[in-house]
Amino acid sequence: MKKLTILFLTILVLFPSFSVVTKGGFEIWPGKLTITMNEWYDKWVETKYNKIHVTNPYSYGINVSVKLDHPGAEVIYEGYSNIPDLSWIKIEPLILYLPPYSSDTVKVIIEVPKDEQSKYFNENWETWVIFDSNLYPGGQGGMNFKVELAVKLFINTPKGEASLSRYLLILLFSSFSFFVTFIIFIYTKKRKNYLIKDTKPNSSLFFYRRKRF
Amino acid sequence: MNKDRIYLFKYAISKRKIDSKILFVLIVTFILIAATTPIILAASEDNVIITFDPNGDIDIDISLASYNFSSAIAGMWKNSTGGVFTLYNNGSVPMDTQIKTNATTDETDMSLNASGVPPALDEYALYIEDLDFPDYLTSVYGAEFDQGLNSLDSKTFDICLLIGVNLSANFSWQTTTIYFQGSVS
Repeated sequence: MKKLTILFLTILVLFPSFSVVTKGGFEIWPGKLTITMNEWYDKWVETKYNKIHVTNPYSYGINVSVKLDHPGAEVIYEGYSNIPDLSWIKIEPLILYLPPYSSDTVKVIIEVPKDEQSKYFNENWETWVIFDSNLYPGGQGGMNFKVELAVKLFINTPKGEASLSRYLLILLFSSFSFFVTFIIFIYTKKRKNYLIKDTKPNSSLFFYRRKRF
Repeated sequence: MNKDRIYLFKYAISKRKIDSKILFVLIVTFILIAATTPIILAASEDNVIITFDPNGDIDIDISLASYNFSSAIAGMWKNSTGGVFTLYNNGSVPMDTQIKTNATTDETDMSLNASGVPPALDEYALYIEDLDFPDYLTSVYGAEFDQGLNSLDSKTFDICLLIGVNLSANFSWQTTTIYFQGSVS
């Protein structure tokens, strides 16, 4: 009976090692990311939420690589199309080492070239950011399995030409600057007149002023 | 008279100062406008709105990690049976799954036939059954094989192999890889 119990316990301990599982080996968040552009911009600047979080929940370090891909016609969301050029999306970094029980982020940056912007108003693009780890048991059998995880990235381009608001700001700022300059100019002019008025009647400057006006 | 000369000199100096002040103000104004304009035209949280699903944690796993069909007879289906494989959704949202495989075996002796017609010379076909949409495997991700697998749920499936009748040689061990891609439903 005692031997049987030991055998049972041994099998119980060894059992998990027979059940080999191909894991994504990591978790990613969020599963969907939507970037909506109200207006075109010349350069991407840091925003708070353009990041995908990658977590390694295991006790060993893993390498995660990231790539972009067009979703197939069968799975693309209704009303969305492939982005004309995948190079307009940049992922930083493309390879990530995650120490045990750690998390990190990759940045998604959208930069549509300035000369292309006017061609793509009111577009809805879908691209997949695909994550793949080195947890790949390759070569263990005739058929090996590999798991990839995809984040669906939706990009909505501006509806039309830049709204007046952008130019309004520049105009307001310019007007304000010129107004300030004008005030300073008037002030200095008044000060100059004050200096001339205050000249003494017996001074040559007084005669100079009288001759002039 | 000498005092007046000094006064005139001082006046001339102060006028030049006034002119230089105006010039200075104009330059400062120009610099301010030039420096601020690019900031307005750069991406900001006003003109780029980013939204995401706060619960969209994704993670899929497959069991077994590998499989041997052992020897297979040309022209006859060889299937894993009884739901040998399991697809797990260990994420926090329902998942869709696409599957693809390499276009050839790693040894490059044999090519994948994904058309559903009997494989021709040195070809083989792989078929996935028991998932939502059983189908032949292709070398690119296409339609989903499974949709809406709930969080912490799993599903069993089988893989079937068909080797073409016509082989140019008696090939030995052939290996390939099957890729599973999970994404939020």
